[in-house]
Amino acid sequence: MTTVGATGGQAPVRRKAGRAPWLDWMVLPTLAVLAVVVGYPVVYTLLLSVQDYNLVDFQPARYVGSENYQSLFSDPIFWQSLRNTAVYTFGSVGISVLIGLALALLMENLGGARFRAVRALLLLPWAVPFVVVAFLFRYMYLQNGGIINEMLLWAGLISQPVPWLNDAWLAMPAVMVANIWAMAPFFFLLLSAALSGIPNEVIESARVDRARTWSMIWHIKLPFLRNPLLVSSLLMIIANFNDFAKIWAMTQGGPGFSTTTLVIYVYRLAFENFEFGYASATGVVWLVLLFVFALAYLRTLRME
Amino acid sequence: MEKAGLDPQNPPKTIDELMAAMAKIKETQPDVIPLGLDTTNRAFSMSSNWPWMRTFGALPAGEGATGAESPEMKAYLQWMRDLAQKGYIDPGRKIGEFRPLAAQDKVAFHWDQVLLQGVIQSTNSMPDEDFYDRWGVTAMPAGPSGKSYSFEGGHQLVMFADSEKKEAAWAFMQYLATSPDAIANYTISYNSSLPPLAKAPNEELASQLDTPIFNAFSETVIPTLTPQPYGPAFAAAATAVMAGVQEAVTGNQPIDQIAASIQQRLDRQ
Repeated sequence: MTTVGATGGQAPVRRKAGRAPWLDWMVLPTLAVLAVVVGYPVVYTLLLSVQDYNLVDFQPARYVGSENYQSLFSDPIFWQSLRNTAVYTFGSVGISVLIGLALALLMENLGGARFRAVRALLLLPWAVPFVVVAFLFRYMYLQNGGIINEMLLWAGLISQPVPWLNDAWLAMPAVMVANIWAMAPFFFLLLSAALSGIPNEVIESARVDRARTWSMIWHIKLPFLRNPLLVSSLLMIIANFNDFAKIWAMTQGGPGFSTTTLVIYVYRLAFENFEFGYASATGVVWLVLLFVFALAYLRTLRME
Repeated sequence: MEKAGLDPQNPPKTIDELMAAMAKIKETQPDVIPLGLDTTNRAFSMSSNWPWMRTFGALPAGEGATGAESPEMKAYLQWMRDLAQKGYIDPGRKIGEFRPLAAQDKVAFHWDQVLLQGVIQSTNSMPDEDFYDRWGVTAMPAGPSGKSYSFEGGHQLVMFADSEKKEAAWAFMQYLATSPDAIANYTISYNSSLPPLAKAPNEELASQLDTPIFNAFSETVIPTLTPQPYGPAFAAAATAVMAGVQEAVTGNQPIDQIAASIQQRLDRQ
């Protein structure tokens, strides 16, 4: 006899709703809200992106066609921001995935109260608000009086304090470390849950076949983790692509433009320089890139 | 200053004297930041660095600008790099982040405003007499031109050309700037700033303003004020210039290259 239900491994089949055409119109309020909340800003940004509009210029906005876009593509700061965005986003997500995966695999078979406490501690950074993370690391990185420099000096590993956030080469990795510290627990949590979902029969049969640890991870566990990894990575790529708070609180995009990402650049253009036309053109490019990631995310979800 | 063998009654008057004094401070007290200077990338940092640029004769933006590639601007950028390389400044801190350190005697020279007194006293509860005994105000050191520069860092009252109520706006501005009530209850007590008047409007206020700090600002600093290139393009110019200052302070790119990239950014505006 076969039981179909919530405990039977299959979702209960929902009774097909009767086809009532008026029900389709019920979606209208949602569409109206989306049109105002999402559609209007997007359309207005597109319109602004083809105008020369500086809020403090006291001149009315002027249609300039593709001029802003042409300027953008010859703007070295835009390209540097784009590069920085890619390094920050893919670097942070990639390393966080590896750390989260390693932690999940290490903690997989460790039970008991002691390890539950360790698990909770490992998750703690994810619960810390991003701005707090940024300031925490900013003060830890300080050249004068920062705990990281103090400890390295004390251990004799350095003879001079290192300007972590004030060196064009070190600033980006330093900001990424803070980001990874905050993000790796997310992957740890998600992958731990995915690991616990691997059927015992599969693990048992691999053991019977005398699969070694590495072989077990590579051939059994990782294929099961593929989809959760893909979905969570894409989600985090989108989140990091938009990450403003951490970078702004730690470096404001500096020194120079070495940690300026697209979102920081758009903010500076729009809310410091008040160049709304040019900022909108940058925002449109940013939006298109985000749209590509969002499409990939939706596609992955559908495939899953 | 005394610990470094310097005479507190004779503060540095030129950039060379300042450099010599900072060298002594660094040598005798390595945990003290010799000069509190804001090098963040924001409009206020440009304002606070503007007098230093002017000290070297640089005028990167505004009316009569000589650009970022002038020898004077390069001299300023080189000086900033020297300050960082010798450990005389602590790059990346905002001006406000130096104040608590100053209250703990961890900053020797500090570019700041009248309100610094209130911040320090609220941090370390130092009585007025002790504060005046320990802290003094002087004009910024002069550069190659022999002239000292400063800037007014308080808040400005602005009336827009298109304002429909100009008379009312002007009356309100006059009230805020000259009324004894506004000066006593807002300018001095709340904002700890100098009123925009050459002479206090009454005896009571004159006595409140008769402190070594207010007097030093009125008599020594105000005469050295230099105008800022404020206007619609100021914020964008500040981003362009201060990004270059940060590159000079924290990197090892040639100064000529940094100056050229600042100019390139200024030209794009």
